[in-house]
Amino acid sequence: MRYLLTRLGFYLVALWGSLTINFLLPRLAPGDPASSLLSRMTGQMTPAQLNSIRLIYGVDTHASLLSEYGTYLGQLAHGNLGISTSYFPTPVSTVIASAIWWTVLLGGVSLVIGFAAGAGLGILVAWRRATLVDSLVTPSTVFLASVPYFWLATAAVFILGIKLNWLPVSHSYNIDLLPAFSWPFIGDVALHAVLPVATIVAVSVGNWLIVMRSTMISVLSEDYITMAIAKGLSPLRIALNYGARNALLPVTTTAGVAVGFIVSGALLTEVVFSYSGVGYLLFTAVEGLDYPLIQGLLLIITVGVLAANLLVDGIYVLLDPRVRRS
Amino acid sequence: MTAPAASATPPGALGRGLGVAGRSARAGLARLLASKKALFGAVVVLLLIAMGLLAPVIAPGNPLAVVAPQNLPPSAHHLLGTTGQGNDVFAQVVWGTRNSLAVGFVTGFAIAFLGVALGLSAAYFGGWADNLLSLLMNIFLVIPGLPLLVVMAAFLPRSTLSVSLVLAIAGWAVSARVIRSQALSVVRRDYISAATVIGERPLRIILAEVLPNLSSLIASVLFGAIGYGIGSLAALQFLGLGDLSAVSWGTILYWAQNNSALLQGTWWQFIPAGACLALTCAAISMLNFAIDEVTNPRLRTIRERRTRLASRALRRRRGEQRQEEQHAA
Amino acid sequence: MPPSEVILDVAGLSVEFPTARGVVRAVSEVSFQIGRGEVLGLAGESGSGKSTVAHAIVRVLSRSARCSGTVTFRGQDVLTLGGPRLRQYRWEGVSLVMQGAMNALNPVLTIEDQITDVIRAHRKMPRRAARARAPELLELVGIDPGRRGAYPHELSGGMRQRCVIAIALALEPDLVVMDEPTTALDVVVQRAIMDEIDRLREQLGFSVLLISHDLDLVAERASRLAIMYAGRVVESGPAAQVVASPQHPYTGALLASAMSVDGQEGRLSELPGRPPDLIAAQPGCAFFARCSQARPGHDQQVPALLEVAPGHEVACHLYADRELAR
Repeated sequence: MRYLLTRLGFYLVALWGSLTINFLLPRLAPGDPASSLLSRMTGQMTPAQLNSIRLIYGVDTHASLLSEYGTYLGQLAHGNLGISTSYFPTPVSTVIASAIWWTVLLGGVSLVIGFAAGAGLGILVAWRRATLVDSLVTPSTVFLASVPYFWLATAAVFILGIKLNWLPVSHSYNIDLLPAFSWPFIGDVALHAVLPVATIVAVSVGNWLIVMRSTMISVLSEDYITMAIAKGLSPLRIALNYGARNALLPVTTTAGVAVGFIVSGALLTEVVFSYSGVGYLLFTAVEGLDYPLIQGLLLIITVGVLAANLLVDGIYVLLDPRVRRS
Repeated sequence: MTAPAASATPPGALGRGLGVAGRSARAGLARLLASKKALFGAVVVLLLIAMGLLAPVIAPGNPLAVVAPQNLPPSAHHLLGTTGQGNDVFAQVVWGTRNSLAVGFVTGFAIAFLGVALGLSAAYFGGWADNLLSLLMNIFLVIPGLPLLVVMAAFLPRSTLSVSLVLAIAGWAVSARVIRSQALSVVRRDYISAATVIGERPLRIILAEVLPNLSSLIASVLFGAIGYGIGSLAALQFLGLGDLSAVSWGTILYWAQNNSALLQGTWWQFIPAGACLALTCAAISMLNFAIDEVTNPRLRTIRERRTRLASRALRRRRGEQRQEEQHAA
Repeated sequence: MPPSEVILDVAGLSVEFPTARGVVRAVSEVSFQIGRGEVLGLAGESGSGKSTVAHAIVRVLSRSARCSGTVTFRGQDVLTLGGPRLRQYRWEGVSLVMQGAMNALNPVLTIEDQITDVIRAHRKMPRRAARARAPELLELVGIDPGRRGAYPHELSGGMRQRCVIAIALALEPDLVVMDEPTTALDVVVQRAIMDEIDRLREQLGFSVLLISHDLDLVAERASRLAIMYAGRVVESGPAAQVVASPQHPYTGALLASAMSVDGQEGRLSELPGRPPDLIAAQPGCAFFARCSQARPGHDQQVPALLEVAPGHEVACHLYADRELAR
């Protein structure tokens, strides 16, 4: 328990760190982006809205940096992330809310499938080390893992989507359909998710495999494995209960970082597939220089990743009795 | 009789540290050169570097020049066809090697340097310095990389320098943490304490005693950083956050995407550049993998296949021998 | 020894491992017998091959190892066993005790689980019946049965070693191979554990192959002793006799270099040089380079084991010369 609380404390500090980066960026950036934003929106926003932007970005105010920081934090506490300029007059929080679930779907499914496949294969090749299986599977997944996401996505889109026309290549669902909790819609969503998920999985499997393989190999040289073999236990029990369960522990501690990578990968993949998640949203926000939306997205994405990390920490506590009972 | 110089170091403990590390480094290098993975990685990287250096020879002229009608497929005149602006794709890919590799390498070195310097400092100096640096490392590790990169790049001018800076800020933490955790175990060793007690300057201890023992890890970190540099540079350029007037694999892909190359079916506009990128990243990853195998003896695989067959043959022979004995009895 | 009393017969056992530098001959032509209820001590320095002999007997050598010779147990050559017969041999015939204070126990399973799984792997028993055996076995080795739900990290080193012994006796084996069972424990706990093993041996009647680099320990607890050097047995015989009148120069050096608590003060005698490289095939006696009594010609041929007294054998050219001289 104490372990989890310590981790939560750390994540709060990290969140505060990213808030502060968010606060300082427009002020430190050369070219004064805030003023240019104001001048762009002068014709469209009401004076009150323009003023709130001034307050957030500290333009023309004589307030000290510290009081601006206070105002900024206060706004955030009220859930006010500002108003999007590219989706004007929709507030940033609303814009993000409509997109975030798509990314959660994409990222979540890819994470689970990628981990299951990667870790499973990693256990297999570690068990059958230096055999044909290992010499085939390991280099091919390592190769895939080093291929940049977006290129693999592009290639997949081209071959499977356009040339062969097997799967849809853009958007998260057919725009003609109305979103509803109906089987046809869910089926359509699933179909549109196949290529993006497959791309992320293909690249991340390699990473999971490498990590699982090397921790598994370390674990397999431990005395308790020798003893388990001498006991005459079934190979399956040894590989899983004696090997994998111990090898998973260091893997889990790196899983938190892996979540961050999956998120990055999901973002790039969304751009290629025009998938309506927060990654694609970030991309269009950057193109349109929608600063409030950009900053809001960084914040929400960070919160999401930190929450996922905390979840992973919870899983680690469940898996390792040494942490659970201390 | 003059007093011995203050910095004179007695042999034995100090020299031993460097000697042992040097010996094992040399043995490791020999094993590395014998590894097939390392060979593949090194050959590919060297070929690509050569391609970049020999660009004026292989593809003379300005790669940004409009030389032909747009979107031509590969032909004898234009080996990889033309772009949406009428540039020769082959020339762009070849010249693009320079920007992609150079900026990637420089960024990688910068990240590795930062990571090693900060990781070593945290491990050696300990105390509040370590606490502060570790906290910074963990924060930068947990904040998702690409969104941070995108946001930072969005606020900065679209230049190669700012992109490199942004990549370094987002990427130093991984290397630093890896170096720090290994350096911690080296720093606790007795000959380091001995050197401190003797009065060696911290910088000298770090450079002469701690650093050589981390040489293989630093090599691995360096290659990882270079891979990250090349890949992430391309990612940012692909998103339109790099210098769009530069010729680089990432920008080629950006313009291809911009040109709806996918929908138009002009595959030559994105497959070659992406393939070079993938190949480079894979080669560096192979090198990294090979270094890991050399430094971690447990990961090394020995040719087991032949010996299993041999033992099976041995068993068969023994079984036959026993049958003969039974017959004879 | 009358054939009916022999439970393990090792004849001409050799073990080779391929390594990057060449083939390592870890064990060469090792032969010995273990009788019912007896303790055979196997002593030697690190790298002498004694652990490899143990692993060969218990069939936990790595897949790359090549064995020749025979290891006969209940009329079968253990080295050629496979499938169900191998499974039956494991733990029911011969079990293994390793350094419990270190990593012989799986950190993520309870003691109860680690006792139960070996029982269920060999006997068709419902889980409840198998679990009932756990408290019995723990009481047998002097541990409070209430602690069966504990994880290894919650127990002291001595208690962990007792648990390892309890697991080793779960299927009432004929022979227990003990590889450095007390090396990781302090002297007081060592004595308690070894006394416990003696008591259990008398109670249950199993034989022990006791392997250690601690010559004092082996000399005290074993009825017969075999000394190994560079993969070969160089001397064997009744423990008291070998210690009282060692015939092989290496045995003499080993005994002389050990300190005794009540011994006279004086310079510690030390054995110069290092153990030989096991890759290069030695043409003559492996101890030649470090032997104080070496004579020219001793490095030409490997000395054979000769009986110098009833039950007491030595592999040394000094005795072969004497035989020739007669």
